[in-house]
Amino acid sequence: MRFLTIVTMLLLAACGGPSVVVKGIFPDPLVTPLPLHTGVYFPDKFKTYVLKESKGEGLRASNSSIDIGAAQLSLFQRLFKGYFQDVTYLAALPDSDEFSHLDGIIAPEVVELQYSVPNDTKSKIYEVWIKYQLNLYKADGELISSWPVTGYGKTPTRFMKRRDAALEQAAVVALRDAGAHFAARFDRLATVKQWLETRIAANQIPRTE
Amino acid sequence: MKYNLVKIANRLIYGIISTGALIAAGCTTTNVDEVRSGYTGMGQGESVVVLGRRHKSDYETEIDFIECVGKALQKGDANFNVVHEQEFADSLYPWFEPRTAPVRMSGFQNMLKRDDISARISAMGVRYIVWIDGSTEVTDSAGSIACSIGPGGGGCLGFGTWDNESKYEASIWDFENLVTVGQISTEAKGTSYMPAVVVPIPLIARVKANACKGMGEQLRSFLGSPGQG
Repeated sequence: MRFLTIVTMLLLAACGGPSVVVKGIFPDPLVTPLPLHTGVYFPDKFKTYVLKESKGEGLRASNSSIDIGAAQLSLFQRLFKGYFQDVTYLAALPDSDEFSHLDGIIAPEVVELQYSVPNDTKSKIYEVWIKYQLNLYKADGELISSWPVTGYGKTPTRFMKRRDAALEQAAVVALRDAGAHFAARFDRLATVKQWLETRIAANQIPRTE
Repeated sequence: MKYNLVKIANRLIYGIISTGALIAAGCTTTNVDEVRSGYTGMGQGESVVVLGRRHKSDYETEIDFIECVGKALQKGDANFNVVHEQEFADSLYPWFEPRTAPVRMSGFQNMLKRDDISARISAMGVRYIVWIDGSTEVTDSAGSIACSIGPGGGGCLGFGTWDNESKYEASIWDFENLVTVGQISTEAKGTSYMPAVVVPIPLIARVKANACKGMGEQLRSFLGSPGQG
């Protein structure tokens, strides 16, 4: 009886969609920190982001979930800590001047997460796409700039490699790629460049209280 | 009597197929080519890093192939210091990700205008960066195997065969002189067989392993000798 239960559970697990909790460990970025004190706001939805999908009906129904919340939080914390000299994490975006000592506030949000497995595309790779929107605000909460950051990761199929493990690996590659995208583009955006120049120049002038 | 003849004929066919497949399974052909465009040599404490190209959309150089070539470089008298691919990419994150990694030597030279990147590579003692681009694919397959299971037991019957082809090209960058010192390419082809009479017996051609062996030995010889330049 126990054997039958185990076999049934294994069969059901094999038929269902992927269930992945991404646990990436990301390196510190090799960058020179900008001489800025930046606030970072991670919305709750960002910190706990899970893609949940249902496909098919009845016996053919399959549910899938890909949890990237903790992994992307770890990635962006390391990125921002490396990019800015001082970082203060905020519980909410400001609506007053209580954070006027900050040079700006950066807040990422997930726009879309997609994945594909070899059965979907008839290719031999597992793929994950992530699209973020990075928002840069003044210390009083006024939006300065908003730009998309994308990440793509793929892993080839391997003999006997578990689907969930392959998708997790693809998600880690996609997250690292999003970090690389941020690094390659961040200080090249005209509005961001202008903000950086203004704030760095302002910080070089001693403040008179 | 008729039953015995059928049985003998079946055993004979199975024997011929198995023997033929066993002989053919060992038949993998490997070609290795080398183009040298600069002097090489490793000083005390210098190391080499082997990296896979992963920026193309339809394939990516396999991690296990890169590890295999790295291990091959550590064999023999040369016994090169090899920096692990992941360790190198992590130390230089985010500059050696598929999106940001330099594709040509000119791009690498531009990247090294950043002092922090140049200093980090120097600190790791890396003298040569070997970029490997390529993959192993199944190019053709034929045959079929049917398996069934019942109250009295189960089994398979049939015959399957497939061809594998490996194509890899290594480009060797000298970090000290900032030049491409050479290119090595390896191609391997082989056919695998799977006869199945009750139990499937895979007779796998070691195509990727032979491509790795060819690439590793050639790289060891290339980096270990100064060459003609």
